[in-house]
Amino acid sequence: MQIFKYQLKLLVRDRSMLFWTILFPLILATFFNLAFAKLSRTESFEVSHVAIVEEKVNLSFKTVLNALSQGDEPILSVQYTSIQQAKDLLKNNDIDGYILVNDELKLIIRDNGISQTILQSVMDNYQHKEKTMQSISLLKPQAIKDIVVQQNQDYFKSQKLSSLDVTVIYFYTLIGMTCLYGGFWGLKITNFTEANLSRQATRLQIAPTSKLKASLTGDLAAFICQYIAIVILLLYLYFGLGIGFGKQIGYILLMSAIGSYVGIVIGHLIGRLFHCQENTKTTILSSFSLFCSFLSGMMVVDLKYLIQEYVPILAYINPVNLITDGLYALYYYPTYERFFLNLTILCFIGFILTVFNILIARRKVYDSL
Amino acid sequence: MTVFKNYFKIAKSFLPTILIYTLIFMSITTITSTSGANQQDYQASRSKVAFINHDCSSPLLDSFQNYLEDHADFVKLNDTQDELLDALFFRKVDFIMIVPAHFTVDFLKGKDVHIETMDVPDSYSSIYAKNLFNEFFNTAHLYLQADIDEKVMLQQIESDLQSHVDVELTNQSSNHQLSQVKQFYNFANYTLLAIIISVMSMIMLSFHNENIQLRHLSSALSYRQINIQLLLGNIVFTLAIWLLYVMISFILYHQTMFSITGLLFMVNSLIFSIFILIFAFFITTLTNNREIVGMVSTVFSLGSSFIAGAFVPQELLSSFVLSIAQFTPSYWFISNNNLIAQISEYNLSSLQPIFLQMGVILAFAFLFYILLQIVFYLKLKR
Repeated sequence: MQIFKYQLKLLVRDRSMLFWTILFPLILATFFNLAFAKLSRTESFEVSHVAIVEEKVNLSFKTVLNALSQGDEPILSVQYTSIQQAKDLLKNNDIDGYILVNDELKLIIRDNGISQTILQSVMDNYQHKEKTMQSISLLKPQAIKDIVVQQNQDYFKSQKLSSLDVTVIYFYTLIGMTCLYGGFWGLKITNFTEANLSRQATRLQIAPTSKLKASLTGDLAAFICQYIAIVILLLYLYFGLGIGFGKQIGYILLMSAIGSYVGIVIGHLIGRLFHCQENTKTTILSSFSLFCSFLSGMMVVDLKYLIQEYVPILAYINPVNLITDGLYALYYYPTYERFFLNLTILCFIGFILTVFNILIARRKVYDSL
Repeated sequence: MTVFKNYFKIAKSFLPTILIYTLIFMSITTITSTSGANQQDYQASRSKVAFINHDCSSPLLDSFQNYLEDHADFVKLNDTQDELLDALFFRKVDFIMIVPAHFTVDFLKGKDVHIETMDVPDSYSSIYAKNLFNEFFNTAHLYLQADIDEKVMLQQIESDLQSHVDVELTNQSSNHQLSQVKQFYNFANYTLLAIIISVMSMIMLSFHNENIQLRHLSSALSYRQINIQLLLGNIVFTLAIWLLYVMISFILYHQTMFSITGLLFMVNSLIFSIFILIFAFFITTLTNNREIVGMVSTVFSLGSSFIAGAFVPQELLSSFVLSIAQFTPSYWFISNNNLIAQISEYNLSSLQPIFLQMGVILAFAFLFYILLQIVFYLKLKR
């Protein structure tokens, strides 16, 4: 118990550790929030703005335009102008394009884009219908009067899907990264318990405590620190920034607990495996977790999908991705299979690394230090 | 030049760390800009659609599929719930259609039938796709009302829907590679900042060891001389990193880089590197604590990249965020890259804003240079 207390004290006293594991994720989360606030909104539909220049009156086209610019879900916002006005409007980007109505219809736009494409499709639509009616009157003139031209009927029915906000992935990778930052605590604990790494450890080793006890208490201390950091982050994300997590709070806490454990074990492993300065070990650890986060989509979200699609093995050995994917599955999927798959693999990785650690650390004795 | 030589001796001892950093950041940049998955392509004017058929294949559906292929990008997906959900979430596909069994028969009988879809609610792409594909069935419906034979109908639909309205484009849009190059250089904001600050601080802080500093001060070299030599070392190092970056851009995008646009990208990033150099020098003179430098470099490089538009394009950031970002040179660097990518002709009036923004970056560099001198002065006084 005494050892546990001291190890906890040693951990908490380290200011820079506190910064990296607690403050840094919070800062990043704030940046994410600033950067992505508008991102999810840009996708949503806005009406296309169009100016109509009538060189010749075309009543039926006008009816179509009216129908599209009114109603519950208008597609267009229409204004009638002169050609000069239209050109000016287009130049100032006030409209997406203008339509010249003559014998033929003509669309003038500046750049290609989705609004412009919608304009074009509306016009195409009109033209096609005209053509169809012509063909029918040629093929079966007697039928033409029986045809009721309905305004477009909808042949598609959307499945109701839960939220599709892709920006949550960024925050999930952040949680994953913070879990791996538990490695910093793990690294510290290794330093406190391996006799060749620090004075404290040397003293600890000659004391009549079993090695198992020393490292277990260390791990417990590290886990407590790490888990507090994660919970703070989760609270901030949930209450401070309003990120959607779905409703399974218990599962999220479970996931981040196991993630934290894996993080700590990775820290141990780096501490024991590499024989170099502590600084370099820290660099290795932070580069490693950064790279894992990158591969899970922290900087470019599509990367997560690409890896899952083309190099799935990489997705399954990357702990950050497992955590991200698990949270994503909780948030988006109707079932829990995928979540538990991720959780199981993560546990497995944790187990393997622990065995590794024990194999390296056990029966290590030093003649002299 | 003892100090200068010593600088590189120390750099050599840090070589493994330097290499790890450089390798990781360079690969991050390269993967990002070449994966083709850059987020700037919101402009895509063809929807990405997937078509899952639970009905047996029929002439109607075949010709509908042909119509799809003409008007949208076709994405092939397996019919598993997981794959469909994933593809939609990550926007690999905008619109998934699941044709129910007996659709063809029921449709031809004029029954009220529906194709099930999975799409992003109220998004451009799904509304557009719906419009486009409804047209096919609406046209078919018209022909059915006229009681026209199925075969003739399908031919007619095809020919009816083929025509397009005249479209005139007043602004010739740029090539695809250009946006990748832009992305690559925008990413430089993160990469260059992170590499240069962290590595340079590692080397510089070795010189800040108290004993070494006292030894330096008691040597025959003047304080000014020492600092100039250190600065020289930093300049050489920064230039090397910048050159490496430019070289990679040449390897990846030689077509675009061998042009005036490429030259402008290079000049712009060089000017930004000058700022980073002075900024890094400034941070390292301010503190002797490696950890603090690490924090500042990470927070500054990531933070400025997020709010100034290195990761998320500037036009997708809110004006509030951008107005904060204007206090960092990153904003000017990135908005300059965007300008360079847009430019279509090279004359004084089109280049002027670019030079102006370069000027702003240099002004930032100058500001930190003055601050640096003040800190030097204060330190020496102590």
